[in-house]
Amino acid sequence: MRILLVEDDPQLGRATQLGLDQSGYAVDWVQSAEDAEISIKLHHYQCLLLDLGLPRQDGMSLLKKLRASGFDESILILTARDQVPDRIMGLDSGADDFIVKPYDLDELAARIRSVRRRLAGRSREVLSHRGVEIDTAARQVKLHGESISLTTREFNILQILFEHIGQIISKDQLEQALYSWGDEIESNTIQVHIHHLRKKLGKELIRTLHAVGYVIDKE
Amino acid sequence: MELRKIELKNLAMKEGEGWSLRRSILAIVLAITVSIWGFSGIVVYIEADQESQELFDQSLAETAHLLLTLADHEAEERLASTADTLTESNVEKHSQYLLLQIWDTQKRLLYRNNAAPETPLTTDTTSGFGWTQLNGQPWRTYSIWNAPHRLQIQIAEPISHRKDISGRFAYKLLLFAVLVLPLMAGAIWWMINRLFRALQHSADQVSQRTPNDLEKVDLAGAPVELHSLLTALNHLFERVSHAMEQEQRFTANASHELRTPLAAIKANLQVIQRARNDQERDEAAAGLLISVDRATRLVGQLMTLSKLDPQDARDPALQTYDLQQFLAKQVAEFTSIAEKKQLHLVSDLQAASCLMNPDTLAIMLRNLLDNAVRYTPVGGQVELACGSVDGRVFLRVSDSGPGIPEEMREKVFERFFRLPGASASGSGLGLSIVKSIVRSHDAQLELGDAVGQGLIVTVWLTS
Repeated sequence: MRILLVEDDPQLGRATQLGLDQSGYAVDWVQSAEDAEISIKLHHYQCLLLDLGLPRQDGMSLLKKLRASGFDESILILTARDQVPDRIMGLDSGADDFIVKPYDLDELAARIRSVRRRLAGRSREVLSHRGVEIDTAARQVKLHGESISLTTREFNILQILFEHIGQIISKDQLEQALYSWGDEIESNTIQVHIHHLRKKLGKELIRTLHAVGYVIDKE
Repeated sequence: MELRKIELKNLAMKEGEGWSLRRSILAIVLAITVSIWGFSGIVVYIEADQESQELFDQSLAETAHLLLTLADHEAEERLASTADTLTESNVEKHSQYLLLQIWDTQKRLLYRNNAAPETPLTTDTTSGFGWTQLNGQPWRTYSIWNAPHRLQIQIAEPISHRKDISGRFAYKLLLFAVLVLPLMAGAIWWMINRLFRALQHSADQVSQRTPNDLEKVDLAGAPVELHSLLTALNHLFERVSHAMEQEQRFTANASHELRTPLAAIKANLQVIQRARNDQERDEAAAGLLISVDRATRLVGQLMTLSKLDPQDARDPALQTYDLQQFLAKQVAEFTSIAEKKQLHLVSDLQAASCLMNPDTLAIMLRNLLDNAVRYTPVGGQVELACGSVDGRVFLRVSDSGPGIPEEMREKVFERFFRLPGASASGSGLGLSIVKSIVRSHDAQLELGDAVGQGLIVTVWLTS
């Protein structure tokens, strides 16, 4: 999942980016609302983490602007303002959740998963299909009840495919979702990860459509 | 709740021990009433006594005249009359209290009634009133000669008669006072209490409040005499509530401002805990250090602000110092900081002395220089100057940074205000500290544009 973090504090921004990266998320970090608007035009983000106290343009007005322009992915507000009226205003303006600083990085990751789950209409963290069970919170995969060890990237690819069962996901889409700016991507990286996944979970699970993408079939 | 009641009781007891308006009014009103009453009672008594004396004297004289007429008549009838033969029938009725003697010119006692002594009641040879002492008490006497001056009548009446009357009068006056005074005291007490209930009502309005209730006290129903006190109280409430509001806003702001560095500290620590390599760990550790420094700086500035007088009143500890010498000492500290950022720190210090508190002025200077160094890009210049123009002493800090837009020059002094787009590392407190110290020095502050680019802060000090 690719996340855009909008936070003007240099230390907090960098640490949050690093922490979420450790949890397996691809995070782009900008320090102003203006930069955030540009980034959103250039890339597709599944989740936006928005600080309210931004220079020049306030986070709240960016939130309203994005919702008005039809941005319908998850937006989580990160703020030092913890008064109830602030929260109500934030949530009513279209935020999916409201996280008060100082936050715990694990909790932040859990909240991100939670809003993603709600957006996908699921209530559980465990997805299971054709004998494969993946737990997105614990980041564990089981094949016929036996634990399989996957790398972060492999897990992320599997999760995306699992969240879109029956839909074809292109190589570009996977790359966008997995890598943030500055990550080195080679042309066959995704292919290598898919190869490893097939080796661990069986050849039939992920089907390749040449020059189009990958899919996990419904049945 | 129980404790509060006890406290109120103690307070009430203390009030009871102190000076009471109510009891003083009661005492004064009673004292005045009793003394006026007593004084007029005495005047009335003396007046009545004199009046009765005159009445008694008059009746004594009339009796004497009557007796003289009778005696004269009798003596003429009998010619060679003696005291024994004089009829007693006419004077009998007076004998219980009236003494009667009839003398002739040879000072022979012609007649006396039973009670009268044989010696003359009065030695006075002329007619008129007099006093004599008989049987241990004073008697009022009256003597009169008949027209041919052959017979003299002397009569005497005991004083106890007169005293009886005025005594009864005094007794009635006293009885009246004894009966009426307690009634009056009660009425006064009742009236004072009633009036004081209005006072108590206002006092209750104030005393029954919770410490946070700073609503105005209602003037309606309170006596006019209390209005000035209640109005003053309302003004105080207003000021306290304003101060409290400011304090609350400040505390809320302070806690918000602290949350960001705290969040950065926590996030960096968690990154360190889960670091996958040394590079990650080092980066987070560096971020951690900066965040802790920021939090420390913020706490320090908050402490400074809280120590400065919130009312911006003139510092009583101002003394005349040599400004040039003071700044020269301070600038040394900043040279290394400026050098670290590759800035030129220039000083142009002319002879000047002014009123200052060196402790707070140093804080002000540190904040101004800190801002200048923080916002001036690498390779820029910061200048510190002082001197006097037209007898006014100035201190000036100028830099080649981005400056402050005209429309923001009021706002920058507000607490926690940061210029849009300014680096997040400032606390937003520096200039409000500067402003507070400037006010405590009775000085003026000017923000201006430097030639080309940058900010000039000029502080006009009083000498």
